[in-house]
This record gives sequence, C-alpha cells and structure tokens, in this order.
Amino acid sequence: MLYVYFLIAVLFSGSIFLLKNKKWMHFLVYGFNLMQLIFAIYLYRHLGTFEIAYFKYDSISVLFAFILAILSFVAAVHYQIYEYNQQQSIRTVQIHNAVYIGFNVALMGVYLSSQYGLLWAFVEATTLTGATLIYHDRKKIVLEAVWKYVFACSVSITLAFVGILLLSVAVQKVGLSDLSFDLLKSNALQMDPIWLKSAFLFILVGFSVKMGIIPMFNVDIDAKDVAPFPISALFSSVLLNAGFLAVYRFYQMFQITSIKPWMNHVLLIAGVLTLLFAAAYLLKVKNYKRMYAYSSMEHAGLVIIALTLGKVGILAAFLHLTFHAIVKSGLFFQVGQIMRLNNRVKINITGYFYQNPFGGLLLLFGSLAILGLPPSGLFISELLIFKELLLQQNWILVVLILIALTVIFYILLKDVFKLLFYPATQKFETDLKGTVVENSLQLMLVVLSIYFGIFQNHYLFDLIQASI
Amino acid sequence: MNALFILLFAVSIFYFSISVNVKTYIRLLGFQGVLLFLIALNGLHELSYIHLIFIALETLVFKGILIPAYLLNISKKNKVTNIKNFKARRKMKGFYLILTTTLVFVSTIFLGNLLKNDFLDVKIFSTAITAVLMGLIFIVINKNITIHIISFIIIENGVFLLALAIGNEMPMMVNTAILLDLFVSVLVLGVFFNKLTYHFHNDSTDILSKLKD
Repeated sequence: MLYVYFLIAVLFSGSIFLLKNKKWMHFLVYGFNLMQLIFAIYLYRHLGTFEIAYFKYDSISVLFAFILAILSFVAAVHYQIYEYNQQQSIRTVQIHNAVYIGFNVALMGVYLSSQYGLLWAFVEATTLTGATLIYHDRKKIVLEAVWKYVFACSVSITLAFVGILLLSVAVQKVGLSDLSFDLLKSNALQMDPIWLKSAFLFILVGFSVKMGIIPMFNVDIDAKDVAPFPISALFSSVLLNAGFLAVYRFYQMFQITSIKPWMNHVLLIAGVLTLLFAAAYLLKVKNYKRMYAYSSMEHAGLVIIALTLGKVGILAAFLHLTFHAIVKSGLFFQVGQIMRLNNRVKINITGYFYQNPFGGLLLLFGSLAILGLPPSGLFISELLIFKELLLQQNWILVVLILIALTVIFYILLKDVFKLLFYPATQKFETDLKGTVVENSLQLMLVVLSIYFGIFQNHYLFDLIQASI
Repeated sequence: MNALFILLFAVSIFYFSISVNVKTYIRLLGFQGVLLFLIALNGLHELSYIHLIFIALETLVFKGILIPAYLLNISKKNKVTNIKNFKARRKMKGFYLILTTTLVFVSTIFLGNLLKNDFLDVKIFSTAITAVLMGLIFIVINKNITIHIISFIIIENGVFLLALAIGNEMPMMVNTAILLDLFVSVLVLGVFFNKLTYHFHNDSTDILSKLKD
C-alpha cells in the first residue's frame, strides 16, 4: 500500500505540471488528500506491521498520519480561497500544489520511518519542499525568510546527522550496524552512554528547528510569518509534530538506559528556556501571525517539559500535540480572514467582531482553547502536566513555567480582545468575509478540540497509550 | 598513504582560514572533494562496484566537480570575487582565525584520543569534527552569503569524513536518500542565493534584517 501511496503522490504531483486549469490542479490535491485519508485508515487497520523494510505503522505514526490527512485537506481548501483572492498566476499555483503533495509525502515519511537515517532524509525533504511553499508570494521579505529558513534548517539538520553518526558509533560497539528503532531499543542497555549523550545533544539541537524550540526557533517564526496562511497552519501543527517525533524516537529508545535522567535535564532546560523566550518575544510582538507562531513555540516548550514527566507526562505530551495541531491550524486560517478583510495582520487592527461576527467568534473560542481554558482539550493535557509537576515537587520549575504562561496568557488575551471588541478604526471589504466552506471547516476544528476536552475518545487514548 | 590525504584535508581547513578569495575557497572545496574520494577509496575493505560507483558519484563528481562548478558559476554571475570588494567582511582577523583553527584542531585530537575505540579512526574523526566546527565558525564570523554557502559545504565535507571515521555503512536506500537530499539542498541554496543577489544586488548578510518583531 505504501508503494501505491508514493506512486499516486508522484503521479498527481507530476500531473499538476501538465494542467493549465487551476480548478483541476486543486481537484488533484483534493484527490491526493482523499487518498491520504484512506491511507491513514489503512495504517490504523494494519497497526504494528512493517512495509518496504524501513517503514513501520506504530500507533504514534498512525495518530500523526490522521492529523496530517485531516489538516492537509482543510489547508488545501483554504489555499484555494487564498490564491483565488490573491489572483495568483497559474504557474505559482502549479508549483505550490505540486510541492504541497511532496511536503505531505515527506511528513508521512517522517512519521512512518523505522530507521533513523531514513527519518533524517525525510526531515530534510520537509525543508526543501517547505521552503518552496513559503516562497509563494515572491516578495523581498519572503525571500529573506526563505533564505534564512533553508540555510538554518540545512545546517541544523546536518548537525542532527552528526548526532546519527555518533549514535552509530555506539551501535557498532555492540556489534550492530542497523539504525532501526526496534533494534536500537532492544540493545539500548549495552550501548556506551557517552556516545548516546553526545548523539542526543546533536539530534535535539538539529531537530529543534522543525519543532520551533530553543536554540533554532527564530527561522521557524519568520517562516510562519511570511508564508501563506494555510502553510503557516501546517508548519505550526503537522511539521511541529514531525520535529517532536524525530526527538521522541531517540528518547523512546533510550529511556530505559542510564542516560534518562540526563536526557530529562537537557529537555527540561530546553523546554523552560523555550517557554521563557516565547513569553519574552511575545511582549514585543507586532502582528497576529507572529503572535500565534510564538504561541506554538510556547506549546512546543510545554510538550518537551511533559516528556520528562514519566508515562503520564508522555500521554499529556501526545494529547497536547494533537489538540494544539487542531486548534492552532484553525487560528491561522482565521488570521487569513483578518488579512483578507484588512490587508494586514498588525496588532493595531480593531473591531473585528463587528466586521466578521462569525469569524470573530471562532477566533475568540480558538484563542481561549489555545490558552488551555476548559472545555478545550488542551485544558486536559495542561492539567495532566501540572499535576505531574506538582507531584514531583519541582517548585522552581513550576514557578518559572507559571510566570511564562501568565505573561503569554495576558498578552494573547489582551491582543485578541483588542482585535475583537475595540471599535473599528479602519474600512473593510464586506464581500471578502469567510465563505461557508471555510467557516464550517474552522468551526469543525474548534468543535473537535472542545469535543476532545469533554468526551474521552477511546480511539485516541488507545493509540497514545499503545505508544508509551 | 591515507594519513597524507587526511593531513592534506586538515591543511585545506587552515587554508580556508588564511584565504579571503572566493575563487580560492571554491577551488579548495573541489580539492576537498577529490581528497574525500581518495580517503574513502583507501578505507574500502571490500571493493564492491556499487559502493565504488556510489562513492565516486558522491565525492569526485558531486563534491569535487559539480558543486565547485555550480558555485563558481553563481559567484561569477553575481560578480562575487573577493570579500574585500564588499563592505561586509569577517568579524575576526586572519591571525585569530588561524589561532582558533589550531585550538579547535588540537582539542579535537585530544577528544578523539579520549574516545578512542576499535570502531573509530581517531585521525579522521579529529579532522572531521574540526571541519564541522570550523564550518560553523566561518558562518558566524563571515557576513557574506556566498561564504555561508561555502561554509555549509565545509560542514557537509566534515560530516562525510565523520561517516568514514565511523565506518558504519547504512543501507543503500538510506544512503541514496541522503545523497539526494544533499544534492537538492545545495541546489535549492544556489537557487535562492541567485534570487537574493538578483533582488538585493548584494551578498552581504546586512540585507537580511527586515524581518523582526
């Protein structure tokens, strides 16, 4: 089936270049998305199986594949509206849609890889396809962001490769040569901790660029700022998940070894610093896209901290990633509507609730959900994280996290309330309000996050529990 | 014989620290590509044709010829010849850079000897880590985008050398994917570099300061 998935992706992506009609180009992307959803269902039905030797369908990869399938479709719909309003050329849409399929395949590759070398290659592929997707509007400022993104990602991912090479020294010392996750996990206890520690450092630093955490977060924020809204949404959700998975695979394999406490310390430092930096940068943020990008950074930091809190923490981390992906992408799509109505996304925009009541309502609920207020699903995951933190009596950490979260909470609410409820000071185009389709899809995302917050979905919990 | 090639590779890193000319940098990259081929060829325990073709493609063709030719082409097209022709220059004087290179090299030799084991070639390991670290330092201290690309390729060469020092062969499919990724990443960097210099008429990093909070 994986061969079919790759083959269809290549065929659809290639066919887009032969077409002259934009509608058909979008139709092919929808077709691919439908196939991707069917593929995710197939993965679920074949949990635990291997394909083409290097791909394994484990529960976490299946969960992330579902999130990708759903969000990629929603983003494709929003892109069609975006490019229609922007009156983009056929060539631009052609390149975007063809590469969009490639980006999806690269992400799916990251989720399904069962070998560290291959996972690395797919992460690199997300950089190359992602850069093309960011460079959509062909402006100078976009070019600056793309250059920084490609360059920083290339250097970071090369460092991650150094980590993989250092890991292979540890692997060789126990008489192995393969870097498959199952094999590494079963031989983890015999490996030399010094090589494992150095490998972990390089891997964490290398993949931090994809997750948007310390130390390589800057280029990720810039990329989300200038990319088209549907792409910013995917960067904040499915790409963040891919970055997390690349780090988690290492953690999962070696959490039974003596380096676990050391890995936890490193992750805690990275997580707390990420939170503090996100809060500090939010203090001077000037546009809504960057604001939500820094909010993603905050959530990535929380997830990294959750990882160090044992089994409950890992459960909370995966729940958090799932809910965050759903809510954050919805928020980015709504910021796209703000841009359409006001031609800018600067913090000084006001009166949005009066301009676009339904969109305003979605933005309000989405923002409250992303702040972890009940009944959002994020409330459950954050509650689990704090419960574990308090049980471990790590008071300094609790205080630092609470300070960062309070600042973020205040800034986000202040700016969102200003945007929604202050009297409007600018003119807007009423005919550019959200269409029924995009409003319904965004509503679906908000409702989904609330549904997960109220009802315990056993499919979701079973998938996560199976991977811990 | 292999020791000589490794020594020459290490000397090439020092030469990068001394030189300021972009053309020299590009020639040095080509030279490093050839050296990598020779080091890899010497390290092959069993001469398999597939591996030989793969290594020749990755080092001689790709790193030794194609990348330098491509870089020379884009630097000529963008009229980049000498760093001194631009306002943006190194943030560190040549003397201190050579001193830093020496310090890094000596430290990596100590590190290599500390971590010594049967599966690690210390000479190659130390040179490789020096190349990676110096590549990163070149990126930090240079303010020219052209030099940034060249520094990135020095890091790539260091990583290739590190893979040789470890000697663990990955499956062919994974190797092909990695090679393909490296190919495309250099190509994409080149494409965007062309676009940058076309729009900004300059290769100084000062032009990349519009995006901020």
